[in-house]
Amino acid sequence: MSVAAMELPNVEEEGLQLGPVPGANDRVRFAGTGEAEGAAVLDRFLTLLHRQALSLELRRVTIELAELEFINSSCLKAMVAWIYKVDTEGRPYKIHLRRDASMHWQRTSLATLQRLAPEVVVIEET
Amino acid sequence: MSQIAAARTAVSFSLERSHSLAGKIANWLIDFCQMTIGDLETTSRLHMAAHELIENVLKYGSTPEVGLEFELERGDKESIVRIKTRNTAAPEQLEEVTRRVTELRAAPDPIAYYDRLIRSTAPVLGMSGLGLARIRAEAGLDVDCSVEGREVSIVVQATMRSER
Repeated sequence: MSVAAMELPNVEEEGLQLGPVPGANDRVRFAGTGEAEGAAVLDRFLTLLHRQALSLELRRVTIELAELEFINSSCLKAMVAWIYKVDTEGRPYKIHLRRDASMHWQRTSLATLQRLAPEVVVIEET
Repeated sequence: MSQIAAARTAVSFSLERSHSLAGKIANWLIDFCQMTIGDLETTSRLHMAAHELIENVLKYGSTPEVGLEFELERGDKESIVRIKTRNTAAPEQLEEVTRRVTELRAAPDPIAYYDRLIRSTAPVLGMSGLGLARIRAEAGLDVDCSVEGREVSIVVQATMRSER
């Protein structure tokens, strides 16, 4: 059985690069730096990702974060809103966050996201 | 830049309230932290704080100019590093930031406080309001504020063991 791939755009705006990982149907990659102006960009992308994950009935979505240098609290809030939505709307899929633990902010902020929804968020090391 | 005394290093900027300029100054400030502190972990925590504080002054500042300071006090046993921002704001913003900082400082467990704040704001669209709590909980820095007239100063600080 073949699984349809997600049809997500490659976005490069406001210091963020967001897009699907080529060849993987349930994987996206975030890179760059997310400041206040990036929050709307990230929010739009996560909304698309959520819709795609639901329509393809994915059981998991993986976000590659190793190249994401930093996000401030506005961008973190966009991730919080997405995770909260998945957690409170039937937990249709799990969210795997692949971090680079050498970055202090990734250790602390991803742990924060996991505490928000421990049944949904899985942290993996790159 | 001014070298005030052997035990104290401080830099202070007054700058135009612009996103691009503030971001560049924040990055420069972090490079300066790294150079003076030489501690990658503390620098990373200060990096988070600097970006959150700068976002706040850009968002809530009501005049074209804002202030940004970095200070390192070296003692024999421990050193203190501070980042301070200064901006004027509308009275309701001054009240709000004072309330938030008071609440944050009174919280016996900063991480539990932060988690509650995240959960309560998660369904709310738009504004995060998480910045100061993130500095306290994730960066593990002390956060304080003072208001004088229409100006608010936010100070975050870390205490480190001195290496000399």
